[in-house]
Amino acid sequence: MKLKKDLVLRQVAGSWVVVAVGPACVSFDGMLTLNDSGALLWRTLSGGTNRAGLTAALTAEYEVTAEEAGRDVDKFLETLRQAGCLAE
Amino acid sequence: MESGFRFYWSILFHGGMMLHASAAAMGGRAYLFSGQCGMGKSTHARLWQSVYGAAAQVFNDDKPALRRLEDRWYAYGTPWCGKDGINQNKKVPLAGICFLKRGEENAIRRLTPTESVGHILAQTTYRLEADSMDLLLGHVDALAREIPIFELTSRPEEAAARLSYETMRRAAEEAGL
Repeated sequence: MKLKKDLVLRQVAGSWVVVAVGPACVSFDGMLTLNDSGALLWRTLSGGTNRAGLTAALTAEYEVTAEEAGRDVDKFLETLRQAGCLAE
Repeated sequence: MESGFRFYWSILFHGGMMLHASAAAMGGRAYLFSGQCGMGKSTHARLWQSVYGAAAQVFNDDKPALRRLEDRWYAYGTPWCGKDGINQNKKVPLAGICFLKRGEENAIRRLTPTESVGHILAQTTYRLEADSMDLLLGHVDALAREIPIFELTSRPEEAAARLSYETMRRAAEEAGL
């Protein structure tokens, strides 16, 4: 599971945003705002990982069960898929 | 490259950015109505004119330029001004921005800087290279922190114009703008 190239995560006035730069703009016009856990998942994913790796990142950082974390990861991945951020 | 894009890209290197908005000047201050197409930006700006007459002037109806100079933010008329050609070549101290949202009632809510970032980014220049994008994000960061920003739902009636003007003017005064 990989993020498309040329998408960058930035913090702007306290808000995490993902924007496209350079060639990626052709397929990704929009931008995405993320909360803190979303930003953590984004950073983890940009290092290259799978669903289990993302779930582990959440349970390591927050007091959630693996099951709850797994649901959040699925929701996060669905958001990315719909926004066209994943290179699959 | 389209001339408007070229212009709005260039101003990023001079503390400036574009916001897709209708810009009205009133009492020596600029107030912007922004949002997606079809949300009533122009309609609301014209409502100010019908309520406040010549005291309210719409000086750009599509893409005003915003610029952070040493002392404060200013809004500028540009030649990229929308289908009605409403455009005045002027520079007005910026005092507030309203993002319009569909709704049945007249209601206005102050957005936190964090909340306003997504709204601003959705209505400004995109398709940038990494260096110009970082400039843009720096300007958006300052804009969100320094200018009072609101979300407005409104009906096309006088009370809505008074609500948006009085709320934005008060916030601007409190912020020393």
